[in-house]
Amino acid sequence: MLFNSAAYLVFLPVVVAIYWFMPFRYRTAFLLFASYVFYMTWKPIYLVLIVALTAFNYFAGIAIEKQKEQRKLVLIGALAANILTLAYFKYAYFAIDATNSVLAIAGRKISYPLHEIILPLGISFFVFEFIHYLVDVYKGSPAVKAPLEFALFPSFFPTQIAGPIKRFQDFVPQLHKPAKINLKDFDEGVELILWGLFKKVIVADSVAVVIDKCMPHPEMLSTFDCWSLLWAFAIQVYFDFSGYTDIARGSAALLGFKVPLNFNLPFLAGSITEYWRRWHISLSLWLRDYLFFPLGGSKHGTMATLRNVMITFTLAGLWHGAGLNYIIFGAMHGLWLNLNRLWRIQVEKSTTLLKLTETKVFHCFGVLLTFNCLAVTLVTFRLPSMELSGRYFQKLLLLSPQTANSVNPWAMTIPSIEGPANFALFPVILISIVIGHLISNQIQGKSQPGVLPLPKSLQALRPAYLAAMAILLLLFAPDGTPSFVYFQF
Amino acid sequence: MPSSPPPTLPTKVDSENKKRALGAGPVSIDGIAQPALGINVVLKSKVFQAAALVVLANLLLVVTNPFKGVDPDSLPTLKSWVFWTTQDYRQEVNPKVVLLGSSLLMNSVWMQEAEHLQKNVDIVVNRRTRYLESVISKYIKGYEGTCFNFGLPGSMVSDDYMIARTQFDKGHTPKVMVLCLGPRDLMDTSFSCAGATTAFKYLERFTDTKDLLDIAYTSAWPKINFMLREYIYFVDKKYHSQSVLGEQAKGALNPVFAKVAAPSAFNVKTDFDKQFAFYRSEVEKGVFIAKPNAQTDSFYDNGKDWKKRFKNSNDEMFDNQKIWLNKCLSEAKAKGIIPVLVNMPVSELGIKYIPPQVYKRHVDTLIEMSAKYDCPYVDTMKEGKFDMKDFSDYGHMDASGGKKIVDIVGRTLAADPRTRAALTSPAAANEGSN
Repeated sequence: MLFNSAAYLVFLPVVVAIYWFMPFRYRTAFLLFASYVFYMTWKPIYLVLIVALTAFNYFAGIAIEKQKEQRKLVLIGALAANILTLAYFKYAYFAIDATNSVLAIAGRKISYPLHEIILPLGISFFVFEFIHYLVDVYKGSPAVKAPLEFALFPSFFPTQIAGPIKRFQDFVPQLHKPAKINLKDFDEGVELILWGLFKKVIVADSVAVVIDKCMPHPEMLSTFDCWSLLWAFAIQVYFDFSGYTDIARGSAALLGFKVPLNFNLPFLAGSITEYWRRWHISLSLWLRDYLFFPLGGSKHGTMATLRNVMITFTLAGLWHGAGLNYIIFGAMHGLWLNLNRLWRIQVEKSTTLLKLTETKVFHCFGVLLTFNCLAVTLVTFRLPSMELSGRYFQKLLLLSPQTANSVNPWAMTIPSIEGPANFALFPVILISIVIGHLISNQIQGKSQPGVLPLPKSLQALRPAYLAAMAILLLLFAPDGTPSFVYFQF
Repeated sequence: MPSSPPPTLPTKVDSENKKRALGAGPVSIDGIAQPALGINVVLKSKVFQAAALVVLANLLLVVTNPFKGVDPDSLPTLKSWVFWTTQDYRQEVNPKVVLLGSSLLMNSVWMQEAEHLQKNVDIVVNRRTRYLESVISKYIKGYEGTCFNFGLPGSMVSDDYMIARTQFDKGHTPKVMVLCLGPRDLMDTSFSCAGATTAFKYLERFTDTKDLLDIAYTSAWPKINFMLREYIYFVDKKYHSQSVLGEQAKGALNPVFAKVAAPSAFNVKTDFDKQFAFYRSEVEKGVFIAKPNAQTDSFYDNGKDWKKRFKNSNDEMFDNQKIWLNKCLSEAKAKGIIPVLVNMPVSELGIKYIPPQVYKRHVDTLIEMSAKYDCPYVDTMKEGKFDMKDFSDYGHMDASGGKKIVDIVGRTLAADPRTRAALTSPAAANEGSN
């Protein structure tokens, strides 16, 4: 059941209505039931895995808390079980292929398992939540004793498939607090859902039509095409994933829950370091706390820090998907972060450089540079093979012969089959979404860097703004239900 | 004298309770205070206000209907079989005979057309069946008029009705409509309801289908979708608005971008695109070409699919499609078209997997309908001698099968006095009623 499907638009109101009219003591059980139903709509057998992992980690958490002497051993065992489960489902084929490419030298190979391994949805996200739980209990946080509360933590349907990655210390107490149905939360929840759907349906899906068509054919593209497609893809991924997150946060708000913020205008980041503080925030915090810090963080000198950053982000790339392309995607981020770190070291040594970096012009340059560095990493993220990525990079960096014409997407006949109006209207949509975002923040009283605050009376515009979004969604909703980019992870 | 209790002044607690009763204050669920969803609370909701605005805008548009004048043919659509066939049909002026049916009809008649003409025939853009014209001419001297193959892959009787309803209009009304039906065409198990087929979805843009709601959308979800379209202007007219706004945007942006970027190679579809297009129910010109003297001895074993289709008799679908058959024949009669019912042949292999009672029900229904509507009926299983060489799989025929079918149809049209009179009538073609 995708968030942008008609089925979810029925499921959510039904769950919300029953939830609020249900006695408080049954609400956790009901939400768990609803979450399991939600999970089973993908493939009922998947439920066995999430229930089994939940039961295992529940007892593992209690065991870590109770153990005095062998806590570390229990922790390592439990972490290994979680990681091996993730590895089996997500990386088995990749590992076999990689092993075979080595064994091929000796003329040998290992065969695939007899049964097909299907990646259970959301496994990357809920395994990370389990790891966080086990480590934090080991560090002294009290284990969750109520089994239903613990079971709801990873399975909570708004965040079940693609996050945000929650922290149990934030989530579980919300189950104890008898929340009241609140008009403000209700309005904000619905607005977030509308906004998320708008991002996904109107922006991401429209631009995807041209990207899907053009990016796999670099030989037919000019260098300018290659760059503009990467910018467009960056926009697609952002609007797709942040749209998903908005719907998740909005759905949670309708149930009286707060879940972590995942995005904070990442394309306005002045450096790649700042970018990771604004992009997929729940993942970057997880990586920091459960990978970068345990590796030693930045406490052991520059070289060790650079190494730790590289390891962290290469593994982050691997987390995104089982393939060399994802590893390279992560490693490129690690490289940019390390270059940024080395640059900052230089800046701190020089007063002139420090003053320069504090200017608005430099900040704008930083924003552009960061966006383009990010865009370059998306080549391997989007294209399925390294050979194709290689050809794309060649065209991107003027290393291969140029195509005579650039693509004029508004004269293309092929995308017109799949998304005629939406794509043609894309520039208008993009401008209106920026204006819409500014208006949205203004009328919600949020501060907007670089934008003068508008009068409070503009609050009156909020219903009209919501109505306009709803109408646009009705007008431009596709017949089908395109999936979210991050669902594959 | 008993004293009456002194009147009491309302206390603060009472007024709070009164407010609660009116829905302005909190109520308690399980001991937890909850604001009641009273009218005062709801009216304050920005979401409610937005919803009210949407409803108002919807009402305004329903009344003014700004997209009333948009040509349904200009709306964006999948270039499916029904799209291309309809486009081709609109080029025909008053064809004499239209053949309706599924791929069983479409493929075989098309292949035979290539044999007859001794040249390649692209079924996507060339639906005229000159072979049928020649057969009729053989039996009816001086016969003039075109024949059209409106067979569509997966077509159900409900789709045939929609074709008759939406396409047989002024200038495009045939004299004779030949419904070529196999057992599948009345009971396919792969559709949830009549309104779910690609053909139906495409054709309903040409007509108001409110009167078909109960028979077209027999399951809940499609019915809800229909109701949404019916009552929400933005949903109903989304293709209209997308088309109009999209074209306007293209018109504005194209010249600007054309200065810096000429149309590129992406305007040319590759073989991969064409193949991919087929899987998303799209059809490309130049992909489906029948060649004359093609080797036809290859047999595609679709036994698994065939057995699955006939394993369970879909009685509900059959009863539903019978209603459509009634409607289709009534529609033809009302437009002055003579309907002809044809029972399509099934291969020796295929018939083994159709339960006898299911096949009997099919044949009996066609006989019953032909009597009810006083229209010619021909059973090709009795009239023709089909053998496995005429079939390219369990159900579909190749050119030789197509020849036999067209021969039987042509003979029947010439032999039956009603159809013969219609085809030889010197009067102008039917004007149609809509």
